[in-house]
Amino acid sequence: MIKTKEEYINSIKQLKANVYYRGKRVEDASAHPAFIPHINSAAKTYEMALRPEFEDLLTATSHLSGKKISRFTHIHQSVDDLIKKVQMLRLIAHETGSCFQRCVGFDALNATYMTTYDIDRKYETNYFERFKEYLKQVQEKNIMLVGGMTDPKGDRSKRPSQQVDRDLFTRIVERREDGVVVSGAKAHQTGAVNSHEILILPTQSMGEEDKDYAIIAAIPLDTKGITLIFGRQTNEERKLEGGIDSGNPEFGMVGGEALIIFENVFIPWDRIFMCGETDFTGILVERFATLHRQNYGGCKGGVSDIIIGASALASQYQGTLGASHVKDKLIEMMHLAESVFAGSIACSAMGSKTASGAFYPDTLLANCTKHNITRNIYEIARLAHDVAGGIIATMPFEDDLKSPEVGKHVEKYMAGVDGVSSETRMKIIRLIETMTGGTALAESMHGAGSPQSQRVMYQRLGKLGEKMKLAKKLAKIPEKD
Amino acid sequence: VCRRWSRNGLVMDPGYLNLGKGRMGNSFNSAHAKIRVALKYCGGCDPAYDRVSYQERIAAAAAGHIEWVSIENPPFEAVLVINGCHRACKEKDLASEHQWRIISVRDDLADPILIVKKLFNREVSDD
Repeated sequence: MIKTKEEYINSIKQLKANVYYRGKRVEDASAHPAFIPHINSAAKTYEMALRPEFEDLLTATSHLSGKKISRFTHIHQSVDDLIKKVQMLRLIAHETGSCFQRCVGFDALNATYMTTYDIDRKYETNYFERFKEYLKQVQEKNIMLVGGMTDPKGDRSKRPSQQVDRDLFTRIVERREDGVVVSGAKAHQTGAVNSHEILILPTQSMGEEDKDYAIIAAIPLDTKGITLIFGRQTNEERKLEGGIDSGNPEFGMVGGEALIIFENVFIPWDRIFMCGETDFTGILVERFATLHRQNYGGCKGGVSDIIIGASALASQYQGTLGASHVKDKLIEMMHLAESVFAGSIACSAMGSKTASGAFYPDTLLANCTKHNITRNIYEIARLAHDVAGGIIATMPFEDDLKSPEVGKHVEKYMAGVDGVSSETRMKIIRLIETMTGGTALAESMHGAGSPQSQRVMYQRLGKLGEKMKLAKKLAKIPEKD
Repeated sequence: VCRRWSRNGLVMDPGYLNLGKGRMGNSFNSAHAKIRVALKYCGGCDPAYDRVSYQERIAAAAAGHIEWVSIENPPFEAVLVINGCHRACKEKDLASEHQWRIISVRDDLADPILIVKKLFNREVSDD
């Protein structure tokens, strides 16, 4: 069982997955400087679980084995579990200021658990028992899973089976006695280069003609035929330097996403949990999306806490913290952060038990929460830029500060209030720059689904007809009008 | 006369807990034997103070008279629950599930010696 940070890193070292960074094969993903910040973030989920002051959120009791397990491998057994998930995400974000990646696999496990139960009831298949056996192993080993939902999708106006290149959606290319063979790809895969396995899921609701695309399966990432290509992020190579200019030197900016390619990858039957049951793809996707959208007020709420703290420090260091407009902006930032956290807590508190026994958040409220993330986090970042000032875009390099020739000038002209060094001020300004721009913001927009995918849910679940009836009743308008 | 501690403050005969140097002394000087106390933190999603540091101050105030154990390691005289805020999630969890004598803190405002004295007083509980 992986318990410590060191055991986790060593397990990634042993994996030998086929990983690429900037066109070159990476021999040891655990030691590549571009991956280390992301590894450090994920490692926090292991480290914190061992600390008594955090274990109540970071661990849970397995309903399968009765043993203490990482909450990231747990199936929610109550509303309290749903709430603790959100609290845990906010807590870990306080330690990393960044995505720590394990929630995607966590949500994939829960969505699969609920859905395999439902498939078996209709088709008398054996996916649920098979999945529970797999889940026991995940819990016992405490491995890190990629939640493999998003396919590249190619021409979005066409269904999977209508694509010119059929690999643009991950699909079964061969059915065999001992398993299936898949080809295709999964895009934007969070934490992929430092995970052990991927749980692939159908990316959207499938029709009968898309049977080959309706597959849930668990695949070790070092399986023959899998290639991972690490994605580029804003200013990511500053991380190679370490130091002030990297902003958050120890941890990543976002999750460390990768494109994962499957070229004729064999999967044995004991790792397959849906195979052609297209009528369950819609509910599976909705469940995964809801479970994942539930998270964002937790993790982004926690990340926002850091941005707010950094903004207050930046203004303190430059002598503006006492200004009423600055205080007002910090208050507004707190309002926005607590609002998204409230959304995540609300959808959890309104959660309910599914037929499988697993608990599930309120779908509409979870979507509403994520929708607010696509707005509130941008507004928090905008206010951070406002409070911190234009220096976040024009500040000299750390190398300038340390230069024998110009260092004295940087030291002199980066000064703020007396008693705070220029270096201290530069550190907090870089932290704000790192956490509020580029990839960090785009993740809030598109992670767990783009805003339009949440708006669709209002149309479906917003009960507009009932709202019209309520208005008619108060206005004394007859029902028929 | 023993009165129960209220969650909102101390409601007690001021002389009752005169076990050590003085009710508000800096350390605990009990003649009582060492007791086992289970320590349980809430998860700490957004704590309003440094929970670990406050527990260390309580341990220091106990001056070696408490053996700290986990709740998985009974028996113990009481459970000290360190909640990060006034929502006190862990206090509610434990109180509903167990018959333990629970002493619960929700902030770091009380003098640590008062918490120690509370842990030693078998008639006091926050559950």
